[in-house]
Amino acid sequence: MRRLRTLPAVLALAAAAACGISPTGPWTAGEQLVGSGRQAVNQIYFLKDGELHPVLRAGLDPGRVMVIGQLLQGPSEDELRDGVTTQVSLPHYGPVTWDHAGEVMTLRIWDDRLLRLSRPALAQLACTATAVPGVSRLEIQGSTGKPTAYTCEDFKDLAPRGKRAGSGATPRPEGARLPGAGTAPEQGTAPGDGLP
Amino acid sequence: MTARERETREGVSPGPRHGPAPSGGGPAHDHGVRPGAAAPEAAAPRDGTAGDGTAGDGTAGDGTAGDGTAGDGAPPPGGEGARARRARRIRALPLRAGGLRVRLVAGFVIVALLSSMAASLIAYNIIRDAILKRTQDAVIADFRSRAARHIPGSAPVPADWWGRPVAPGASELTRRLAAAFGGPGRAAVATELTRGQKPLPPHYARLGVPVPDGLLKAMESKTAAQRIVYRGKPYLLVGTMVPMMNQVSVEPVPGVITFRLQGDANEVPEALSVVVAVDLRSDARELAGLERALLIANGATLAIALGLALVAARGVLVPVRRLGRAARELGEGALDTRVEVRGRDELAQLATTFNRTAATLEANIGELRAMEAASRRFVADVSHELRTPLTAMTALTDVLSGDDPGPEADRDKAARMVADGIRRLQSLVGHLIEISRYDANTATLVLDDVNVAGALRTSLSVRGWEDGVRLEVPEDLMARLDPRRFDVIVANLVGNALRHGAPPIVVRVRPEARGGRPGFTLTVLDHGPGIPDDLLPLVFDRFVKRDPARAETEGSGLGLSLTRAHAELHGGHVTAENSGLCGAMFTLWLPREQPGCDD
Repeated sequence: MRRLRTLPAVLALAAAAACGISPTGPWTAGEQLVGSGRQAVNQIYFLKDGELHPVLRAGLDPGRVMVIGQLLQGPSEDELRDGVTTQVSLPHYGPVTWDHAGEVMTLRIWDDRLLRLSRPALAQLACTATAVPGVSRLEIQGSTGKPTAYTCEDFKDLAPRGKRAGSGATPRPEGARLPGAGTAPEQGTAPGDGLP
Repeated sequence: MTARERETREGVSPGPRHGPAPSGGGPAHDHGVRPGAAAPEAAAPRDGTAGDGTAGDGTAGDGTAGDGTAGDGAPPPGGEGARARRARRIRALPLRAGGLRVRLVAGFVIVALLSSMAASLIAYNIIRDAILKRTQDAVIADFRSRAARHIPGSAPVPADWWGRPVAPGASELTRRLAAAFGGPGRAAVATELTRGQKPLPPHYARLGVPVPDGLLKAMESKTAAQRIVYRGKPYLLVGTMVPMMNQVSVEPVPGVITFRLQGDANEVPEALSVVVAVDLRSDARELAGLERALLIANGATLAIALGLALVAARGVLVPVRRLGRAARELGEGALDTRVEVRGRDELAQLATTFNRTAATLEANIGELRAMEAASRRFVADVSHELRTPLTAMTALTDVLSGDDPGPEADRDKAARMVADGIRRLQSLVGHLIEISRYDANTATLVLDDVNVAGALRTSLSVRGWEDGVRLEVPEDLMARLDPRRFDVIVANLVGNALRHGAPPIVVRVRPEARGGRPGFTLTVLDHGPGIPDDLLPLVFDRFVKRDPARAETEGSGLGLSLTRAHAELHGGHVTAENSGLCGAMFTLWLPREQPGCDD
């Protein structure tokens, strides 16, 4: 008789345990994935030995205005060790904003004291902005007055003279438009598929 | 109706049979649980009035209550009232814990329910696993396809849409990934992992559900998934950690040129991790619907099983109760009780067996009663037979031993009569001894080869009967017989003819085989009035006399009875009839050989 009493209890327990969705432990749902999504590559211009020096940064697509932010962040520690410098010393918040519309990328500097940019800094800004596909000029807008337009062409004299040897040298990737390089491909993005 | 039966019916004081009767009839094992039921004196009157108190139906009651109603002056079995009451009792079939019915029904229902539940559980498990597998496979496949489309090989330093640096996990890239992996019913959180960071639960706080450590650990090397239940709701978590190459190939074709993407070594993400939480509510709803359906199905099974079990139990219990009641009635002395045999199952066989047993019992008890009556009558007859001559002899000896003995002739006559009486007593006692041997089955044949004609003549001449008897017998007929018993047979048959019939008395012997056995027939025919018709079937019984009033002149009344016993001991038989106008005719047939006694 005791067996008869325990049997329904066991059954009820089994039924209760069996009903509903129970939690599980973790299980493997496939191998580790590799990033194979669309890869955007940004070309940022710094200075080296008094000349413009383009470096590549991973970017977003779409994410054209990101290049200005990446320029304002300055070179990485490795690049600094290689002698890569920047003369653009603008804060990337507060009185400095930037935007993009059509062929024009606009940099607004609301503090006139920050507006006094050196010629290499202007070259960096102009070349970085126009390296973005579809952007033909950079307009710098002060707190008053009309904006001043720049293109990379204006700074041909600072363009790097051919390929340089040494570590940290940044080869010119296809699709990146360099000063004096003529027409550039439409996209500033490198094909990201099939990355090793 | 015997005194015992009367006692039982009136229920005054249950006789010795009334106590055990319920335990023999109804299922008596229950009675022990009720207080006071063990005392049979108390049981009968109370049960009759208050019922049994278990099922609460005072009218139907159980076996004991049924006894009570039978004891309330109910007519004997077979009466209309008793039958109606019995029918009602069968219809009611009270429910009792531990009773056969409860056990049958419970067993049936439990087995049915167990099977149904087992089938349901198995089906439910299979279906649930299939549903979950379907959902999980879909979610994981979708996750992998989205990952392939949206996770880049390299990620920028965590920055907002403007390119301004932000904390890992708050960047434009992770925002876009979260949006790309999210959707209705699913939430996603992506984060950059820099400087050898491992995925930690705080990174995924915005997911809304806690991410278990085990999943994060598994994520480090593989795409991992885990099902969790958070606040009673089930979720499926899928997570992965994608290492960032920070390199870019700009020529897709051979001679691949790979460039290192520059960035701050401390800030460039080494990996991107994405965790997606998918709400499994729709699956849970689907399963809840399935559970409901299965519960309803099981409930229906229970109801059907209960119904079938009741029907089945009834099919078993009604015959069992009928048998039990019949057995009780049989035990109470109604030997003519029989049960109706329905169907061809074991219970029907049991009923047949019961009927056969009852019939045998009835026959045996009837036989025993007849024998008992015969024995009583025999004792009475013997006493009577002994008393009659003794009374006469007592009177005569009083005359002989009196003070005035009377004339010589009277004394002589009295002495002769006393001697006659003593002889008769001696003969009677001899017969009684012979009969008691037969009754005790100790009579044996002492066989010898006998010439029938010679034996007959000897018997007659010894008794001085040759003159009154005409003998027609083949001289050379030999038979293997017990000569003493044959002599007694002849003496009895011929003496009977001489005493009751009238001459001429014819004794005729001729060989005759019966049933394939050689033998001979001996016929004794007289020319008297014959045997009265009412005596004819009884003529071989003990102490049957033609005229009991004339006891003095009659024989002992045992002669013909002994004759038959002797004949049957030989393997033969004897019959009596009236031979038309001639008178009584006794026919004896004896075999000529005795089987197995040829010594």
